[in-house]
Amino acid sequence: MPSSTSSSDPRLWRHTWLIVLALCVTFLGGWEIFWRVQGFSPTVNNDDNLWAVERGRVRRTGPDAVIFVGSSRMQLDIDPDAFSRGSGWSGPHQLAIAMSATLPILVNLAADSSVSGTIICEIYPMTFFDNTYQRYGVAKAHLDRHASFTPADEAEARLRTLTQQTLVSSLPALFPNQIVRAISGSRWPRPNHASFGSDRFGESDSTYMKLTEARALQLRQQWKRWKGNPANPAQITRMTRRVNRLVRQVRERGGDVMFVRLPVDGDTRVREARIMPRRRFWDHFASQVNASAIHYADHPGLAGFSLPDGSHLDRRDIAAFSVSLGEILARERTAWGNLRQHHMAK
Amino acid sequence: MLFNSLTFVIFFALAMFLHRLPLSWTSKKRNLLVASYLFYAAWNPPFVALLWISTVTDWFVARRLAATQHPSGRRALLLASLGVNLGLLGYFKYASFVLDSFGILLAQIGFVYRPPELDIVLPLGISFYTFQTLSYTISVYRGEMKPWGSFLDFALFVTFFPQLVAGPIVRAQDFLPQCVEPKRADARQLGFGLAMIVIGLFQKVVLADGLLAPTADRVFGNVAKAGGVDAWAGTFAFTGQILFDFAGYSSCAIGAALCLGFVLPQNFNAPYGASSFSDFWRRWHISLSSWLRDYLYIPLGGNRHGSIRTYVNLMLTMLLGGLWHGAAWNFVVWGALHGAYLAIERMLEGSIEARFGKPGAARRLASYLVTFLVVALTWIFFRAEGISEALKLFSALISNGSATQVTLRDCVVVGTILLCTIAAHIRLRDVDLEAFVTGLPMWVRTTALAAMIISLVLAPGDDRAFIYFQF
Repeated sequence: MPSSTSSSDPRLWRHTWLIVLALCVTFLGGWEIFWRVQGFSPTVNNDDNLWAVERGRVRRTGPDAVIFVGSSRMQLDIDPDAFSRGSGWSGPHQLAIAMSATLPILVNLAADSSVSGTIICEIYPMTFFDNTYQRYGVAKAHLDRHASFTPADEAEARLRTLTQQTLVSSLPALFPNQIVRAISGSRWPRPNHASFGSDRFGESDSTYMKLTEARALQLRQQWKRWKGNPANPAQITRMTRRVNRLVRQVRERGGDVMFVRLPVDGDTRVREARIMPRRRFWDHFASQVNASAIHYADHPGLAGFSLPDGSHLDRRDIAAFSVSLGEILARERTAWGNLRQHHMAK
Repeated sequence: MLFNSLTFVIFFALAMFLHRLPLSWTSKKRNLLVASYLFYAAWNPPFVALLWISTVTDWFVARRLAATQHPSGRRALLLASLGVNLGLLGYFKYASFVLDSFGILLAQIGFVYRPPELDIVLPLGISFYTFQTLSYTISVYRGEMKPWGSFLDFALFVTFFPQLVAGPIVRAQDFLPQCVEPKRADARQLGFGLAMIVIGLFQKVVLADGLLAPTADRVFGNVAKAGGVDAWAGTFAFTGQILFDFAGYSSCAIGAALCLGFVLPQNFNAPYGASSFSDFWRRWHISLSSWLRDYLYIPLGGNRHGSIRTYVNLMLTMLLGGLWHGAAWNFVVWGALHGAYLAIERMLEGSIEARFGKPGAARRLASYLVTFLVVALTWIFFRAEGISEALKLFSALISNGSATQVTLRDCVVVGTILLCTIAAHIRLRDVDLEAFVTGLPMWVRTTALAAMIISLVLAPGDDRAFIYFQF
């Protein structure tokens, strides 16, 4: 039985839709302008769909690709253009995931025969040397999303990225439920300190970071919730052997893996050093891993920055940091390449 | 490709643009056919082959049926069509379920059997398009219609993108005649079609996904911890979610088809305003319930062979209807319960009126509310992970436990939406939707549509697939 049997006046619908269009344009235009005046700017939503698109791009790269893997530090501390200037390497890809462990992504890239570039892998000790695998779920969720990504999903993700780059209305902080939540907590919505591009590289603006005191409180609460279990020396050795196998897999395809410990500051540095002292964790790993391992504290070009929240560089510093990092990594890769050739010649 | 996606907006805009160009009717149908295959391929390109197998099989079976007079030959052709279509459906949807159930059954009698892990992808919409093509072959077999002359028309009937993946299940007799003459939506069809799409998306994105699904997911995702308040809130949240999700999809499908000039059958008619279970099934997923009636219940004998046989036929039909929804025992239980309700209602038919007289307003209201409540409680089997989870939630319903997973705000939101929905469904149960919408004052109609569109634009982009996509 047909679902439409009515015979309404056609002019009624023309008038209806003209008025509806006018109402929507007026409201949404006003909404967009209002929030821009409040200081909001468009930014890409840093979600698993965006990660899946970028992971798909990585499959189509060659041996010149540089792939960043890690946590939010890796995502917010790197300026890709400055890094390319410093290293001489082009084609950086950002696969770092906030609040996530690094190793599952490294495993995924090592197992992918199409990946033959250089993987720059952040070592965040609180997840890398933690036996409880607390942050593995985040990495797994992103990997699962990529595995189930259909052509329609990819097209949709790219279209949404376009709207997110154009409209502040797409910001999660401005979803109606978030505005209601903010106002009911006696706060006016504020721009997030982190913003991202469609290439997933981001930056953190300390102007919009919460007041240092509030941020410090948030970090203290995060530390209280941390229920990790630091690995013992034997476990670190076993893990390093596993990492070496992954490095070998990548090198067999002409690629490389390099490890980086990114800067930390203030309270965060003190707590991380107390729970996972450098000597027992990073130094142990660096002495056994068969790849470059660069600690920020060993290089003046990486160590001299102040981090407003203790974990992330301010956007005004990431260019200088990235140039330094690029130079150091390029030198290290050349040195390692010469060393391997020397061993092979013997 | 989901209706609530930017990809679909662009896809549909292109399809509409091509459809309104001054091309021949055959070219327009070819464009719609290509668009429909692209729509399906956007999910998983290789599975277009299954659509093609179904289409080609039933096209040729129907033509052979018309040319074959011998009853055994005709029966063999019908069985071939049933075999191919139900075979595909059986393999992709039920193979793992059958093997697992076989293993459980053997374990009950002391045999250990570990079935192989079959990693079978369920093709999108297979339950819908196989039923649709079967209705064509069965109608030709019964002599209700002649095989259609145009393969293009038939292929479009099978794959028409607005209803391809989640219905309505369209009958060949309703769709194919629409392919004869050129179809181009007039201003009225376009206007109301767009309104149907907006209303459908609002139901799905804002009501189902935004306001109801979070509560339902929280409760059903942690049944062991649910207190009494949690259980009731979760149950009602899912009761609303499944209505708005599925009715929303149907509304979008019907609206999209109308914008292209095609009329699809109504699939939902104020189901939560039903006065009885038989009335509920005349209002909920109408295209499926009428399909089951015409191709299962009536061929089994319907109500023509006495009361006991009628109850058996009702139970069998609803059991298979439950199984159609999902390859799991909780769907079978859900179907069985509805079968039992229909059978009991049939048993009591007439006797209540004979005893108490015609129902007054109070009794009618009670019938609406009781029907709604029983249907809502039965949805627990539909949503729960399994029968044991469903039973745990039932026991939570009658426990004294307070809320641990839902907040007062969740309860207010769910309660408000459900009460408004029930009131609207009771009030509008016999009202034509287009007549209702066009009868509203201009300022109400435009404000409501604008508010829906604005809330859709501003809604969080939580990509939940339509619930019925998994069937």
